[in-house]
Amino acid sequence: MSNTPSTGEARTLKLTGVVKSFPGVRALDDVDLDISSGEVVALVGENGAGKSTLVKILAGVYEPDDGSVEIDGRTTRLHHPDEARAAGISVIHQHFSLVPVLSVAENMFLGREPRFGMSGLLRRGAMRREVTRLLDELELDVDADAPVESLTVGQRQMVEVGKAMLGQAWLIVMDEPTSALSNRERDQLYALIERLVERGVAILYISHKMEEIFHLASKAVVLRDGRHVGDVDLSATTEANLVEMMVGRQVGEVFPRTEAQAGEVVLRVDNLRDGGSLRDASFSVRSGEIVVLSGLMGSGRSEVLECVFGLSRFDGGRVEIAGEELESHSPQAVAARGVAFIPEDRHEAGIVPTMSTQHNLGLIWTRRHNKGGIVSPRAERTVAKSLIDRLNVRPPNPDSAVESLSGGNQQKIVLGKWLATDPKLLLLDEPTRGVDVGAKSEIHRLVGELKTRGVAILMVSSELPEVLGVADRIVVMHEGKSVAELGRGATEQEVMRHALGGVEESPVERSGNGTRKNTDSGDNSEVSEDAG
Amino acid sequence: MARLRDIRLGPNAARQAILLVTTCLIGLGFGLASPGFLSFGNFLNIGLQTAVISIIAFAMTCVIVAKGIDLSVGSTVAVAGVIGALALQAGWPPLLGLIVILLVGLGIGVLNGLLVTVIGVSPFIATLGTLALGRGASLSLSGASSIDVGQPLIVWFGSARVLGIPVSVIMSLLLLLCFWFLLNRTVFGRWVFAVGGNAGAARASTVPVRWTQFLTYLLTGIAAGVGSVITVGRLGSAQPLAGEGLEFAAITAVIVGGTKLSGGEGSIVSTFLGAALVGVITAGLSFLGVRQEITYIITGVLILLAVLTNQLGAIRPARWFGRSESGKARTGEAE
Repeated sequence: MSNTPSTGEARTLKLTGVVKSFPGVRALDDVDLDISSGEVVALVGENGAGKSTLVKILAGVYEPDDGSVEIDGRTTRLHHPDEARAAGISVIHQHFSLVPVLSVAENMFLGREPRFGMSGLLRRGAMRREVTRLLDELELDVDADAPVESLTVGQRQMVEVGKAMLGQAWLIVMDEPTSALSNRERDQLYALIERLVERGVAILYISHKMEEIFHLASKAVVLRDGRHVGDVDLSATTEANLVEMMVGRQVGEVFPRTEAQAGEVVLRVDNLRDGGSLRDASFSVRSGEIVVLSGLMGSGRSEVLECVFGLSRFDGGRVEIAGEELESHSPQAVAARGVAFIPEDRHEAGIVPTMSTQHNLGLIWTRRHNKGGIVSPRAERTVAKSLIDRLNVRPPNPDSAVESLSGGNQQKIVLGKWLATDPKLLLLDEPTRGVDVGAKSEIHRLVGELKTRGVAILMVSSELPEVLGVADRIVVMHEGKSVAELGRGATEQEVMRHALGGVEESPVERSGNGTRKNTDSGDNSEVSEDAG
Repeated sequence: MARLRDIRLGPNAARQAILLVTTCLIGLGFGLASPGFLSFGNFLNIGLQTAVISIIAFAMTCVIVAKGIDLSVGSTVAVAGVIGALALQAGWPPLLGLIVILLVGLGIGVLNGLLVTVIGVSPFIATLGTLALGRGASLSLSGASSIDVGQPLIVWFGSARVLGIPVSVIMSLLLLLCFWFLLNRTVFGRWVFAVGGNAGAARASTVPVRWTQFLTYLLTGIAAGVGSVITVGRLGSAQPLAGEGLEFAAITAVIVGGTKLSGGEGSIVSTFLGAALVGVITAGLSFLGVRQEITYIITGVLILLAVLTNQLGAIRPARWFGRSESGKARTGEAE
């Protein structure tokens, strides 16, 4: 069995006019993509631009509604992940698909193990030899017998690459491959990519990090709102141009802005750290104000909210709610102070799918409004109905099962169960992720309404237009630290620059009475080294 | 959307109607086969035999809705009875003996709860352990032989009748109401459903997840204690092997009632009807003189049937209405 990819003939993949819609969202609209052996193409765009959908089409998870997929000039349909794999396309996700308890060799051969004839007995020797040879060829410093759970994140990634090569892949899609790597591991990955390219492999590289894109890729395919903005020759453009192509859009009516009088400080966070990816965050939120935490994935934004709400422990710094530090910082104690938390993952921590709309909406309310632990179904129903009206939940039926509702309506219910408690501070983690434009604007209208009523709002969002559209102030996080605070009127480029950690211009002053400045423009390497 | 809503409206009601009709039809069938079956006396007999199973199945429903399981209930019935009987033998007053039985049940519930929620042992393993522990303790404490209990108070629970109806049947009906109220009308009941349906969401909604789970194990413990009082009272003695297979019978009733082991869904009334169905079938078969092993086989088939109808119910709406639903779920992933 030969497992070395063919280095001879050049192979090509060509997508033309690909369209993919989901109810309420056109995820991809007329997208072209062209990639051939031996090149690295970057796929760039904001979150929600359609990159993941495009990758899923390449991986055979989704089928395009329209447009064509051609491999080596022949029109192909990828109905199933197996067909994509057979066509030589391999996707390496941010979350690896390795089995921790199995060895490197076993993982690389998973699902296509060599056997003795028709028996189920594994040819372990052959597997090991094959894998060792491949690891040597790719100059990977990994032991074929080591269990995957003993490897570092960087090594696991190499195993994923090796697995793809063993499966005769000629096109490898890498989705944010360096997000969890130290700088040394990143350099090893760069070297590996170079070796793969020499062997005629094509790499579709997805990343938010400009330096990586410019370092590795020759061409960038830019997506924005599901549309193909264009292909860019990276040797003939600047970072600023590329960013502009990615974000160049009017922030429209999706984010209706309401004016409100900012009042007293409701939340003050000082030098917060959680011993993990959150390293040092400081900021404050006043009533009648929306503060948005911006930054790349993994920059510690969500961790800030979780610490504030008491879902995770912080091991350094202070959190003051309405001027007071809580003795016991548990979610119950925090919620009792009028804090509401809308978590990032609706399915994991937002809705209870098996419960009705009414019971979901009443989940927190009933705890505070009951007689000796007994719920009044009538009162609960009244509350649920008024929330359904206020949030415009469809269908407006308190008895409908929440799992049958659309994402936007589910999100309204997550919001609604907290609105029932009249919060003073609202923590929102990606409140509009995976929600269609209509529901998005409704959710923002509601948040705006709360703001005018004097609620303090702290929000995490990955969508820059959203950040700029709703924020009164933007706190930018980079590698677990709050590095900048931008006022209203900041540009996407400014936010991006801080989020990427590059501060070339004068450090931005913190507004308010913050005394400390974080301007770690210099020594990033050390930071990521111990983070990894 | 309106049609989807209508179907969704009463999954419990539909199942309960089916269970009720099935139970009646099977009862009628047995009545035709042997006329003596359809007598008031025989109904009471069935009630008597299923009383302990139902009581434990009610509590088991709470545990399973909260995504747990309690295998230890049968041996808890035995060990609580043995310890209570020993206390009575040592001359303790009857009321105290009764309280001892209930407290032992409660104690094993606490142990299960601690193992699951504090130490983090999986419910299946933890209660499998206490199952063996309880059986071993009841055998060794009793010297592997039964202990006579002649106390009228305890015998009253097992054997007396009020207005011609056995006390244990009355108790199981009262507990039906109590458990229904607990699950449907209290904050705790909401928590049980929320914890089983999505523990992460429950936690983010400040529901004390572990405390809720802990309390459900207390419920099965106490229910086993009550079951023990009735069992000892009916037999007039504490048997070290009492309650064997009771966990199987109780879980069968819960599953046949349509509660899902995946948590978050279930109903006390359905469990009661499930227990009634199993009770009628078991009684009818023994009335006809069918051997025990055949009864087991039929019970097994019944469980599989119940699970199968559950699956069909879940598959159908998904297939008919699935396109819009799963499409929307996918958009979430696609972001």
